[in-house]
Amino acid sequence: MNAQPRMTPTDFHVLLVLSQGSLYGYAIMKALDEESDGSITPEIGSLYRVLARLVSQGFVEQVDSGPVEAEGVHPGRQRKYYALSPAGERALRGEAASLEGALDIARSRGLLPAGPS
Amino acid sequence: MLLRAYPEPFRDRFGSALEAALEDRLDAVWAGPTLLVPPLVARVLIDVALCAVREHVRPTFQARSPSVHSSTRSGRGHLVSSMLQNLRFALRSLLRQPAFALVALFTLALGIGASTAVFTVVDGVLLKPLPFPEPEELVMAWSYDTGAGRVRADGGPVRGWMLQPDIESMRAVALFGGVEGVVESGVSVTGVDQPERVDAVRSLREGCSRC
Repeated sequence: MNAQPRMTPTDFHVLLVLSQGSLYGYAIMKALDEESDGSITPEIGSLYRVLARLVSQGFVEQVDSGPVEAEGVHPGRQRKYYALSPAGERALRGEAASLEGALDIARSRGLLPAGPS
Repeated sequence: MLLRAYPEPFRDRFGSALEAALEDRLDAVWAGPTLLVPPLVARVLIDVALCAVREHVRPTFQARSPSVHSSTRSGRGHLVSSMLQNLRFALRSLLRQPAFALVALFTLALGIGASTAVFTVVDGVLLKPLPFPEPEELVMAWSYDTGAGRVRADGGPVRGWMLQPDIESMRAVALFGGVEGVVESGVSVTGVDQPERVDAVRSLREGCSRC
């Protein structure tokens, strides 16, 4: 039994987005929208509260730069990049495994089609 | 400007990044369909404002000085926190029911507009002093026709003309600081684009008219 409290869906998706590499704020917002099929679309203010909480928990850390350069019309803007920390990666793996377990139960009860064997 | 509403620890740590992200977001909004710009800009700014309030009520990030922070949250800090919590609850309730919020706003606007209009009339008619020195001493004198059978339906006397000798005698007794006889009438104003009929008061002494 995992004693760690469950993540919110937004926390999970933010960590999932950052698992592909460090990103800056607006890029995280766009990636969240794309990866969640538009179901998780926090505005900038809400996103930064999530990021602040994940930074406080040690799951996300601020880094100097990122591999994805800004696509905006203001390349000189002082953007900050955020990356998944080792603790964040462990938490993400744990949450993903927990979700997978729940999905297995849902499949076994016929709530979802059977996955690839 | 909105970023100044955030608590200082949050602002110090995330302020510049949040500002850059906000600029990126607003750039994207402005680049989109024109019709969507106002609601989207409002959504972005309201979200930032609400998050600043939330950050005061339930901080997600705190500076590493818990003893100082805990001492400032007692007493007055608790009161402010409670007020912010109530404000946050009210704003969230309104945002969850936009139709109700619009009706409430329209009702408020209508009420404020109607109250302002009524007060303007009351102020002009009842409260605002007349444009004369010591207006409380200004009186209007009438004469009444007391001839036989000259009574109104309610039994009161019928108002009649005050003659020039009556006015002169009133001046002579020095009961009033000044006496002026006037006749209410209408005059036609010409010499402008459209001739206009206006109410006027004509002075008997100097033969002039004053509207």
